[in-house]
Amino acid sequence: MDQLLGVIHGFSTVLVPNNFLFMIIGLLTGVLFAAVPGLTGTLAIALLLPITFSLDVETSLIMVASIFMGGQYGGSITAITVNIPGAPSAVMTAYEGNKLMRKGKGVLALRHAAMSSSIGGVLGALMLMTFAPAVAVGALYVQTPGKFALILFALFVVIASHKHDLFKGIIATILGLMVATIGIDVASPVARQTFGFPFLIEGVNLMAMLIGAFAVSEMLVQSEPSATNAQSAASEGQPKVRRRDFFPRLENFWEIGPFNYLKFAVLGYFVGVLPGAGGSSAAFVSYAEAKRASKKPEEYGNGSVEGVAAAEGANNAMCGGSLVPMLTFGIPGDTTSAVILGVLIINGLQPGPQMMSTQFELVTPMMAALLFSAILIPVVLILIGPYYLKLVSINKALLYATIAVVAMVGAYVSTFSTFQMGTALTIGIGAYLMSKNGYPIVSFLLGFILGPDLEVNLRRSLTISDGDALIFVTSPDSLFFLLMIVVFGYFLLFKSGDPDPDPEMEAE
Amino acid sequence: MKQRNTSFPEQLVLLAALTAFTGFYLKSALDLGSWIKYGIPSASFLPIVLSVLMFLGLVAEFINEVRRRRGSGDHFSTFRLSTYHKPIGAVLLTAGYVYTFARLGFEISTLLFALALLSLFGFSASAQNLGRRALLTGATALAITAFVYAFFVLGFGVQLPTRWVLF
Repeated sequence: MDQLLGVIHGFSTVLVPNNFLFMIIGLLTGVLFAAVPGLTGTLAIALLLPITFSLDVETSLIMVASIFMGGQYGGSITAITVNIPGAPSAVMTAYEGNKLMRKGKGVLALRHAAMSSSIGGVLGALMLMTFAPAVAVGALYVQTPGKFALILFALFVVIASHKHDLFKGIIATILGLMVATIGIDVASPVARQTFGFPFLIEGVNLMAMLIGAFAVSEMLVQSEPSATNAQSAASEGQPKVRRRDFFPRLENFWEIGPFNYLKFAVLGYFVGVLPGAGGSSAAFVSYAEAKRASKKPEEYGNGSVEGVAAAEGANNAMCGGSLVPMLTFGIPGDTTSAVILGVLIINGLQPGPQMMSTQFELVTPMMAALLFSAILIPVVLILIGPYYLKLVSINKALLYATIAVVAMVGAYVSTFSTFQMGTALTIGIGAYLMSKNGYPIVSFLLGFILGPDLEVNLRRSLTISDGDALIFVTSPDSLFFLLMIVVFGYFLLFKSGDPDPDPEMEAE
Repeated sequence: MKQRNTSFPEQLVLLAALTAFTGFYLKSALDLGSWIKYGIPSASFLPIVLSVLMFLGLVAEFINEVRRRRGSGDHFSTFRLSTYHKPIGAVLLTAGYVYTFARLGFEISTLLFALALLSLFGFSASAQNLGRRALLTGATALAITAFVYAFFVLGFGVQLPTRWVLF
């Protein structure tokens, strides 16, 4: 009963005009930041942190929650329109959504992304309010070996999904893992893999990696003399778009189906509950499961609305899930919730087991803000969608010169270091050459993103077992995910029929 | 992102570059010392494992590529160096921007970078005369610089290495 009263209090607090206004500001800021390569929702919260001092605790939390939700959705906009994911969690959305864009179905992809983000976000927020305490206890059962096996499972799936060119997928994934090891060791204060260059101790920043892999390499592709203007070509294929085309449609909802929406949200939520997993893992696990269970697997890699819906539904549902360990145990589920943890502490709140019982009413407005923000996502699309879609009809030289400048300045802003600008350029050159030769950039990127967690959990597990690798089969949680690798391997490599078309090969 | 069919030499160059990188990477890992210390994996453990896996993957891909090319009857004739002229130009311009960003300040370096990129991409190539083209390109480069400044500095209060305050 207390829990119900707390939730009602949360809703009524958000509906206070002042709080509602800050929620809208937060949502738009999150979307805007995530839609610009180099900026993220995390950065938005960090930059707005000083503002929270002048606000009530509840208002601050409402604003950061709406930035979080907007940030997860916003990455999909530029991912679909110009093939540059604004946020790491939108990598799979770019993979499918931009192909739809180039087929003249950009509005459809944007509509699916918004609808799925909205449904995923709402379900994630509802699950947060309902199951938070119980789920947090359950997540504790996934111990260190289990987390290692979970990440291994994610990497296995990304490699297996490129079965038409398995070795290139393996090489790209390992290369991503190798780049992730550059800098300070994850488990000891040792600088490693710096090749004698002291500046490499800083390591490769994730934003520099994303900017290089997508923005810089795309600029290089577009600078080729033979390059057709892909964006202009896409623009020519686009039917005339009106604002009302961005309104959510029931037929789109039934195209994906309520069961699938629920499945994407549940997967995203539970991946979010696992500390350290984050939006990228949520989007990819959901995408892989959607592809496995799809009635139209041939569409994956060639522009699948189901793929877009799976990735977007899961990464927005992750918002609710990632707050569970943060609120209940003070363990953030991803980088954004880590910054939100900072906001809580700055405002004198101490997340932990006591919080959900004694200060539940202080955090329920944040949960309600997640839900309201998710509901408003399709409205945001209606407001800004037509403008973003026009990105494709901008003069190619103007578009890519602007993107190059914003991206390079974004790389600088990520750590305020010109070293990261150089890193973005180096990664961009590598990504350009790799993609020209058929190496999947998605595998490279996921190897880089998941690498540190993979290593930490591997080494911790072996430390716990005194170097005995059998811990991975004697731990039930680890064994579960290893068996999942076998099951997925069977379905992805041997049971999915004809070899899939090259997912990165364009239909020219 | 586009992917095109590349020639065998291009594939070989990339494989050779990856092999060289893996070699340096492995040497750097071995310099860290033993991969197991006190029975526990050390900082060099994963890099050494990854290096070995990478070498195996590269050998497998090389064999795979030779088989594939032999099967399709592909030869060395498709390689065209001219494809890379403009990308190399874009890389050099970007490298120059990185070098000058902190030294010249955001305003000058960005203006020059935008100007050079617009020229490289052939902006306003259809303009009737050289003067008009130069004017259009210059004005657009200035607009890009002002937009990026307004967005980052005025919009979100981000500190950039500036020499002058534009607004």
